[in-house]
Amino acid sequence: MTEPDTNDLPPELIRALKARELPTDVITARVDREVAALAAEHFAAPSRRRQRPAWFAAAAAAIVAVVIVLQLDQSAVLTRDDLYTDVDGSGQIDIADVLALARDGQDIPAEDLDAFAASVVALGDRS
Amino acid sequence: MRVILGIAMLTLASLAAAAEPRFVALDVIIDAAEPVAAWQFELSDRNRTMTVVGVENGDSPAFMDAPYYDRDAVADGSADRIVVADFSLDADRLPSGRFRIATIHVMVEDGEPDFALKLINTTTRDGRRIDATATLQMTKERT
Repeated sequence: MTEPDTNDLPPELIRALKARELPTDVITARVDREVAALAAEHFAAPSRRRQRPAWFAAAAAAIVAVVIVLQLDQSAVLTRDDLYTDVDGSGQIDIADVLALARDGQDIPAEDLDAFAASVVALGDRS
Repeated sequence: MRVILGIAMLTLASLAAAAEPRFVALDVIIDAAEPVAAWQFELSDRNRTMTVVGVENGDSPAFMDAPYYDRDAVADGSADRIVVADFSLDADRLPSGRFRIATIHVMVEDGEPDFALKLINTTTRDGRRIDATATLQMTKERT
C-alpha cells in the first residue's frame, strides 16, 4: 500500500496524525506530583493497626512489674526449708547450694549450714 | 637345713616389706580465672590402694578453717575415697589464679596408686560456675 502524499491532506489532519506518532507521556509532571502527595500522606499518618489505647501500655507495664517483683521475692527468701535442697537449681546438691543459703538465707543458724555442708561431702553408708 | 631356713626368712622379710604401707601427702591445686567462693572435689584411687588419713586446709586466708569432709570415715579408717569442699563469704580475700585448696594425707598399701581427682564445682560469690582446673601434686612420701 502506498503512503498517502501528505501534501494533499488538510493541515489539521496532518497535525493529528503527527501527534499520534509522538511518544505518549506515561508519567506526566502532574501524575508525579499526585503520587508523591499520596505517598507523603500515607507515611506521615500513624498506622491504625499499631495504635493502642493508653491504658493498654499501662496494663502491660503493671503486669511486667508484678512478675518481676514475684520473681525477686521468690529468689530472695531462703529459709531453713531450703536446707538439703538444690538451692541454685544446678541439678545437683553441692557446696554451691550451701554457699547460696549462707549468702542469702534468712535466720539459718551456722550449725545448720555446717550440717548441710557435711551432708554434701558424706561418703555414704559405711556399715 | 640352715640354707632352707635362711631362704624362708628372707622370703618372709621381703613379703613384709612389700606390704608395708607408705604415707603420701597430696596437694590439691586449683587454677581459676575468677575469685573462688566455693569449691568441691573428689579424690579416689583406681587401684584401691589408698586410705585417707588426714585433710588439711589450703593457703588462702579466705579458707583458713579446715574444709568439710567425712570426718567419721577418715577417723575409722574406711575412707578409700574422699569428697572435700568449702565455701567463704569473705569477698575481700577470695583467691583466684593458681592456689592450693587442700592437702590430703593418704596411706598407700598393697600396690601402686592411680589417683583420680575430680573437680566437682567452683563458683564465684554470687553462685556463677567458674571454669577452673584442679591438679594433684605429691609433696612428700614417707614409710
